[in-house]
Amino acid sequence: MATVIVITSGKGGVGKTTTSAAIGTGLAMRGYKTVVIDFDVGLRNLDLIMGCERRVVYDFINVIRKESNLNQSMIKDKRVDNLYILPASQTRDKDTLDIEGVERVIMELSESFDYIICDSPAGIERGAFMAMYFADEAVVVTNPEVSSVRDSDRILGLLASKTHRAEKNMEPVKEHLLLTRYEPSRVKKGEMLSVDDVQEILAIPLLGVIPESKTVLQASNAGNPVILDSESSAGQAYDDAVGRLLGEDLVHRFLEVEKKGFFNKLRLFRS
Amino acid sequence: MISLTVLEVYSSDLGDLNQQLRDKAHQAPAFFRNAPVMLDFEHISEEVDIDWLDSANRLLTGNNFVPVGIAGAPTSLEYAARARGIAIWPSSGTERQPSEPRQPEPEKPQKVATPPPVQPLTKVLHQPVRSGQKVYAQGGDLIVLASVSTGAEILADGHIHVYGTLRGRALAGVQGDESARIFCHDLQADLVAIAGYYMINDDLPADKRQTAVQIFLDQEHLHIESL
Repeated sequence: MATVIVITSGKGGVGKTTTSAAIGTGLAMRGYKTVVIDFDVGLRNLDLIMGCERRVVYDFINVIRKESNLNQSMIKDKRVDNLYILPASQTRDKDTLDIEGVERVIMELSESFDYIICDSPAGIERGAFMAMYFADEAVVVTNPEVSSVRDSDRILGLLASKTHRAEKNMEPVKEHLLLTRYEPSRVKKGEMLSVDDVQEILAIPLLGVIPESKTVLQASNAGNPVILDSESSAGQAYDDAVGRLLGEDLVHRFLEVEKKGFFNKLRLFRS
Repeated sequence: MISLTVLEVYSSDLGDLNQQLRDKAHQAPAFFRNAPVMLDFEHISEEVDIDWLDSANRLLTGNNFVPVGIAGAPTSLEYAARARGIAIWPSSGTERQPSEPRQPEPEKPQKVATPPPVQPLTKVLHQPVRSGQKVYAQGGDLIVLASVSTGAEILADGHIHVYGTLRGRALAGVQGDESARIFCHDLQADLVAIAGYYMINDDLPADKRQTAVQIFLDQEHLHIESL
């Protein structure tokens, strides 16, 4: 029986797809059979971020409409074992998603997968609703910025009421906060909300803090999930987050301004 | 089974009647609001006419009761009432003679023909109220044992208590109860209102922000005092 994790936010552009790719890859690297599904019908991005855009034949909508089966539609990742991607349709729109179809696909995937990651579109409409409906856990991706925090709060309200678990009075969806694009230097100057500020408002457990990093853009362009870049601070932070998702107790890194060491300063003079 | 409140009339003093109706309504406002009331004239010795009945009915509606008819009235009154479309209920005793001498019993304005009034239900929330959520505690108080996010709305017919940060909108006494109050540990509300009188975040006094306060209505003004 798979664990369904929805990566959602409410606000657009905060890092949901980047996170879905990173977490999906991270889980697969640790040996869990993982599939990442793109629910953003019509505006698909997951295939780009994961570098498989040239191998898409069938998509999620095809499977829902029984025009193809899962084996034909899922794309196996070339770099990491156990990792599969189910892309969204680009030519159709969100109205073609239907709840019975989504349920059927998730049930079928549950039989052979350990983790099903649902990459939600932005907003609180059909696509987002479908992505969160069958979730067991949710990663709420938030930027340390006021509108993102408010939208995440809205999403938390929906997770508590408009999901399968909420409607059937089961144990509630397990919520995790993932703070992305964090810049400790700006927080220190008082320009940016701190982790504590965000947690005070959202009041859910902190899964991780992903620092702002140029490597994220580079990773998107190359189609390599950033977690595969072990030198990148963002990649390492995602790796920690996956660990915490699996129950490991890891200290949060990249929260403080990095102090330039003595030797770093010397290097500047030499070059 | 429908419950009906019976008001036994012992005196024709309308002022007295109004006061006692008001007191009764105050005892259990939620229970008696829009409660159907039947006037029983079985025990009154004085003659009352249709004009008196009209006034009495107006007093009832003025106190948020709903007059649903009369019983035990003398034939003349019944006749006039019927003509007005006022319902006549069967009386418990024999038909009364208007001239029967009778010692009026000590004022007992009503007898409740139903089980004792139920305490208004208080709604208690243990989870934060998130942006976009709306919670209404009908007929009672609302207690939130967490915070209320900005963009959330909490309403109650009675009082509101927030044992956390109040960032959203809080509306107490929404059915008109001006004695309703709002209590919170940390005032950062978008808007607060009692019985329709409201104050927006911009107008909250600076020294009371982010502190524990109680908010109440006094002579059509909202007062915010530290707890």
